[in-house]
Amino acid sequence: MPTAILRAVAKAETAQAEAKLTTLGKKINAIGTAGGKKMSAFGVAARLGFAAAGVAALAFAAKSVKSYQEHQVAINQLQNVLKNSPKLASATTAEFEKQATALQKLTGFQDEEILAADTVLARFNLTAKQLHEVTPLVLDYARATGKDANEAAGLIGRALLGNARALKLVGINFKATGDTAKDTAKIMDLLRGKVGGTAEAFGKTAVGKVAILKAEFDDFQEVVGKLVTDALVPVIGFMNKFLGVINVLPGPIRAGVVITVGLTGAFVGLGLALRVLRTSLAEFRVGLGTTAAAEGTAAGATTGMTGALGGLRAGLLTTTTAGLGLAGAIALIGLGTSEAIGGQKRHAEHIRAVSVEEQKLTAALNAGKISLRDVTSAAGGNQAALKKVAAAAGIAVDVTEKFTPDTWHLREALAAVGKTAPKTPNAITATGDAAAAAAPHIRSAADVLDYYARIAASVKAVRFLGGIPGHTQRAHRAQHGGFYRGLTLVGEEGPELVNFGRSGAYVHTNTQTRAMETVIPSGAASAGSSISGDIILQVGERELGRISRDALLKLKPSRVNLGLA
Amino acid sequence: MPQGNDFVVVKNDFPKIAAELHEGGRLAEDHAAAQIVAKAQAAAPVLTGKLRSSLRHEGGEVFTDVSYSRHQEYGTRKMQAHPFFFRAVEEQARLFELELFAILKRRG
Repeated sequence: MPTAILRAVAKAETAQAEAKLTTLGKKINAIGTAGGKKMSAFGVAARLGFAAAGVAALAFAAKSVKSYQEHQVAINQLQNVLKNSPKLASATTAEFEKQATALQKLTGFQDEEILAADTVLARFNLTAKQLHEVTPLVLDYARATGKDANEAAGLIGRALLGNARALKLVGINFKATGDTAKDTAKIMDLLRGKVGGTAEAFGKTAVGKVAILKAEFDDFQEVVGKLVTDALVPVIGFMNKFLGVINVLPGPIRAGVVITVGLTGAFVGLGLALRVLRTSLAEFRVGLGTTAAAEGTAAGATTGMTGALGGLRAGLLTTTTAGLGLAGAIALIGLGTSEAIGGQKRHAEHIRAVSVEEQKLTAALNAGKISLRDVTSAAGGNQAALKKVAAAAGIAVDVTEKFTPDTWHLREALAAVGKTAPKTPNAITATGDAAAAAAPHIRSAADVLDYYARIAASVKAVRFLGGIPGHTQRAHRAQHGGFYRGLTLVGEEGPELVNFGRSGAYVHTNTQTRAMETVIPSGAASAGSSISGDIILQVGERELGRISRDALLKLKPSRVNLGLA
Repeated sequence: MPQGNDFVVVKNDFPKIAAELHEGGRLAEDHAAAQIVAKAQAAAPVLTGKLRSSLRHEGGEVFTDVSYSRHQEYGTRKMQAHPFFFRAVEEQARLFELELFAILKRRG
């Protein structure tokens, strides 16, 4: 290539996103290959399991994260109790988790419920051995009395301490002797005699099999939730570190930094991951309408599902065949959601209008054509200000009246710009702290996305603080005759780079400045490397965050309509 | 927590999307560079046409090798600046993210 005198590089920073997506893809494939059962699609029986579990298919990702977090909470609570119970100090959560998984497959109680029951029982001064023996009896008692496992654990725990009123519910009259060990053994014997095996027997019924299926599906969600969470956690850590570092850089250099670290890649990955998940699950929904023949094949491949399928048909379908019934149900869902989809389209158009106008307003603000006060005044309905900002930003809008439904998008854009435009360079510090403070409170995928949307908005602000090296500053000087703190191009005899630092200015001569342009190789524009002739075009994190958020918002109506169970 | 062999994979497009993302990014870069060239050519001062025809791109990289291009871009003590290059870059930079998404959406 000949020597470039002027050059710019358009670069989409996708490498990190590609790496993350590839890794996530490998992890997901590992789920299917671990048992040597790799298949290209779920069996129909498993698909029906989705419906039986009452899981909103299109909110699968968010629910998976929640499910995983609930499991983690149950484990943490048990761990805490074990640590504080002298008789259980040597016990581990792993052994209880193992028992809970086994009992789940027999009884249909979810392992989190069983672990929560263990947590309650552990407070009654039992040994690990006693706890392992009592837990199945608690589940039997719960099934026999219709109580949930947690409540049953509390009642049985009190009975072991001498308050035997709960035992009367199952026809046991017991009087405590005062010898705790003997009383415990006696109560367990009596419970075995009266309710022993009830939970397991329930698990063998059609309804029980559906409950087991539901519980196992919940476990699957936990696996997916862990993958999603694992993929997000490093990004969150990275974001916090990134914002911490960027705060200490001089304003004009921040713009050159925002980027190359692959921040944009993380957002692309997040947005696309959601899109892919949504697409996959949309196909799953179509798959529900498959024929009985396909169902037979899948049932054969999925041991133990036949009984559950029978229960599902009875419980969910009114027509003669499962395929037709589900197809009909899906058709109804389609009709029911058509209006919602129309609303989503209108909403998407509105959001798009807001986004475009926001960009125009921000550009006008950065160019000094309007002030922040103009923006806030216009957002408040001041017609003179509205006229001024609309003209400056090139937005065609009738401003003779106050905002109408047709111009609400402009009001939203004004409000957004008013909030995100930095009033002082220190504004980013507050954003960084707020982001760091928000990290421990993330509870769902929705929260994560909202979190990123907010961080992305602040990152955009950083970019406005700095502008593109050598350009925003130059424009600023040309219009106002002043100077901008940091690196600025000036010079009546060709460009000269000046650093208006806090401790004084340093002027690079025109020759030095030109030398910098030619010496610094492609892609070298980064923190502390002064200025080069290269400009790295960046994917806008804000737009990415917004698209991710929109993707999630669109999931909500579908979740309502798919609530089959 | 269940182990992997209890389940099968529904559909896993992540590797495919990773590849699409790579290709989409490349296309977006190429497209952006072509747009910058077009805009810079439209804004370039013309006497002989040498500067305008020297503007070209290779992949995402836009450049001109005409020696006086920087004088036109920044100006000199004897000549007023005629910014044509980086203004086109800035203009395209604002559209880059939207165009990248448009490309990814079309491919997706």
